[in-house]
Amino acid sequence: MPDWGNAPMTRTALWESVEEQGPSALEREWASLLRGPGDVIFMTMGAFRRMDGRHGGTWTALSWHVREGDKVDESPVLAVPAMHVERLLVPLAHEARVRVMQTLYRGPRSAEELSEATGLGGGDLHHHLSVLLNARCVDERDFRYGLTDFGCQMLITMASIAAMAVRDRGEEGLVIRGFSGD
Amino acid sequence: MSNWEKIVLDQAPITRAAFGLPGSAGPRPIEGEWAEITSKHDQDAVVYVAGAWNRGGDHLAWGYCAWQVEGNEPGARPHIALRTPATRFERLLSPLAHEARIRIMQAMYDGPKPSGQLSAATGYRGGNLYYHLKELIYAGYVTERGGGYDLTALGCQMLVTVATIAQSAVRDRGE
Repeated sequence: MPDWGNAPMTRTALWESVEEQGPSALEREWASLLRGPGDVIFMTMGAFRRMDGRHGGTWTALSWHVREGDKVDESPVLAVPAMHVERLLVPLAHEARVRVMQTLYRGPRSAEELSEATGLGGGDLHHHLSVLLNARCVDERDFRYGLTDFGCQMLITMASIAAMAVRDRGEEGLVIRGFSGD
Repeated sequence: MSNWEKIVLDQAPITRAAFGLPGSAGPRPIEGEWAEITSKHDQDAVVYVAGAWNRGGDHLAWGYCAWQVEGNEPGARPHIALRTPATRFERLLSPLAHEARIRIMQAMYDGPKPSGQLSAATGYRGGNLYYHLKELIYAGYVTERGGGYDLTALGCQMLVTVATIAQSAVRDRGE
């Protein structure tokens, strides 16, 4: 369990979510801001430290589409070109590539070490590595491959979404502690 | 000022405290706390995913928090990034990793559509359109409803999720 005592903002905004006790204060605040059909607020955030211990990163990504009176901002969900979504997901939408990324999460590896850890042979491994290099999920230095910060973020984010979706598969949705408002 | 900036300023004290004002540059206030929480061991990580939406009058909010701050001590759980089987990523994401399917789902975002309207909105017709619809239905992201096709709750949540991440990834990488 993290030492949330030193994290007053997290305690105020997210405590119930962290403790799995129901929707957090932040989630309840968001539900109260929705005005009509189509309104949406979405966020993902995280923090991680790399294997080498020397550096880490934090990220947040936030989308909103909330009407105020007659004024409606353009929906971010519809503004994103579908091609950008494809480009984002293709590297992670393949079992073998995720295994390569999971191996690299522990630290940089040579092609031989990757092959041994994943069971992928030469041509296959190089194909998947080139997809991951192009997507900037992986980089290469002195013949050793490593996950980029972006690759770490994507692996952690999609792993939690996958865990959440599977847990809830019986219902209709990703809803861990969903509630219908008003 | 966007609607959201005005709403956060006037009506959302918790959002404002954690994330600052929408237009402000640099790390969000809460990111400092999370950097501290993950500073104890190599490979520490914390992740939070949450959303709220209104579809057809129903309000729904969801959130999920996972963390790994135990280091590699004996008895520590497998890491967040490592304990999810790779096949599960593929099952979740491969139905969405196609431009055509994202366009079809975007066309349903504001409500169910008969196939004729989906064709008009996306340019995909006949067997091509039905092939993609079938894959989306099989994955649980789309359902047939009232003589047309509609996003499921899961489909809607996944679309919002991947669109948000795609948008921020493009911004961060300066494309």
